[in-house]
Amino acid sequence: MSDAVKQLARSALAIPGLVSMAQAAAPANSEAGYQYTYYTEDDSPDSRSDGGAQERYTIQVHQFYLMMPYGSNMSWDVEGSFETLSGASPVYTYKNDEDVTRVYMAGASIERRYDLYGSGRYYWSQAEVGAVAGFSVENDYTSLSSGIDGSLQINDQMTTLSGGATVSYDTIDPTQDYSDPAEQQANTPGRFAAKDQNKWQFSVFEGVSQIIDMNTVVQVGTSVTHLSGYLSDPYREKKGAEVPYDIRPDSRTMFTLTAGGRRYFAGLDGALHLDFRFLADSWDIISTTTDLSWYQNYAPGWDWFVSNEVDFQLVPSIRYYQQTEAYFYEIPDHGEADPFYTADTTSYYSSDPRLSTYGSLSLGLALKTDFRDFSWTVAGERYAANPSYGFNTDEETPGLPAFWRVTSGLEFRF
Amino acid sequence: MKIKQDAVLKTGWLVVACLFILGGCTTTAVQPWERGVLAKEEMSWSPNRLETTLNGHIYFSKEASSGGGAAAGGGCGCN
Repeated sequence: MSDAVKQLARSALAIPGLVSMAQAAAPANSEAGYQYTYYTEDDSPDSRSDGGAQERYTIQVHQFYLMMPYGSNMSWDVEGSFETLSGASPVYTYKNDEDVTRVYMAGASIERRYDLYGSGRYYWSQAEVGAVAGFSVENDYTSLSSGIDGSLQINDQMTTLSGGATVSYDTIDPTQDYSDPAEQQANTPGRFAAKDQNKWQFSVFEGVSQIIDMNTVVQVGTSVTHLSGYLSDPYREKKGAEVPYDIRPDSRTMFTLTAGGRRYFAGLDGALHLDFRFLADSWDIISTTTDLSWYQNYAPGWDWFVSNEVDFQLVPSIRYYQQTEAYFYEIPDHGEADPFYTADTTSYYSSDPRLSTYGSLSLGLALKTDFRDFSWTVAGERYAANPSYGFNTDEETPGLPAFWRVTSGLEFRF
Repeated sequence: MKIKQDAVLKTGWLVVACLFILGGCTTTAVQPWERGVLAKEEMSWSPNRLETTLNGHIYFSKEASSGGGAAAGGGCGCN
């Protein structure tokens, strides 16, 4: 199989969202990469914030990967990350005596998270299988996951069928400021309820990609994910309340439909990327995600650039997301009663802004510079979420995030 | 709830129909020596694997939707 076909197979198989999906045809070279990201959220609005700190999260992320062929039919790779988080997050949203929506913020904290994943793949001429396993660790949360996937090329390698399954098991051990259980329950009822809880997640997915012509490839995919266990947010709580301020169903099933296309325009030496995802779940959330990117190549013809294989790629992108609210999303009215929820409350409820009806808009710009076997990328993103972006003009959701992100990464092929 | 379940079922049938249509669509065969453009990095589904991982984790933490393939993100996502 030619290098071009191998590269094509690697390009055409992956389903959006997968980290190490089907690559078809064993890689000929090794690759390594490192990427640093600085992420900072806008402060919580002064006029709508109570409690601890208005400064929301600043996160620094270090990522790396190493991928190497093993023999002529196998490859293995590792990928990991380390991140430090500092700042505050919304605890709960409520309406005050004047019916003004306000956010109670947590105090600032510093946290760390590590993850590491390893995978191996076996390749045939027109098929491949892979397996992945890994873990993610925070001081109050541990996640173990594993998965398998495979792909098969048919129809003169014009069509690729792919699919797989993953399973993960998470354990929760929320931080507690009090040693006495009675004090824990009184002061941190959410964390007390979540102590030593766990959750399982199962996901299956399949996809079909199709080469349309020399410049166009499209794909569709579908997935079903089922979660069961403790799915509430343990840190959404109100001191002195009888029960946590966030009680969600103990199961959730999500269904997605994805579609995507890649089209190269020879006259412009650029490629258009379009990806779409539809999601519906058993919490009554329906969402759509649309990504649009343009990859513009530029290769200077000057001798030094040509001899050193220097070229550039500029990638502007836009992402639009919108969702409907979960059936148990509500903003408690503290004007009516305080605490709003009692031990007699039997329904599910949450004021988590991420479960409300809203939309978000993201603009990105990246510049990649290739130099011989190295690639250096600098990228930035501005993201903002707002109810009005999701055509919701009836509610205010001051806890929704907005952030800036700057990323720089280096890749090396050897 | 019933309405949403109906929507899911209808969408499921739509997916199945799309897969059959795509699987059965006729395209002009593109020979291996004609696939140079398709092999370009900018034509891949995920040109930057670390960026793909990071995006999945960020959006998983900030929005109620995730996945579309395998499980996205690791960790609590509470913040």
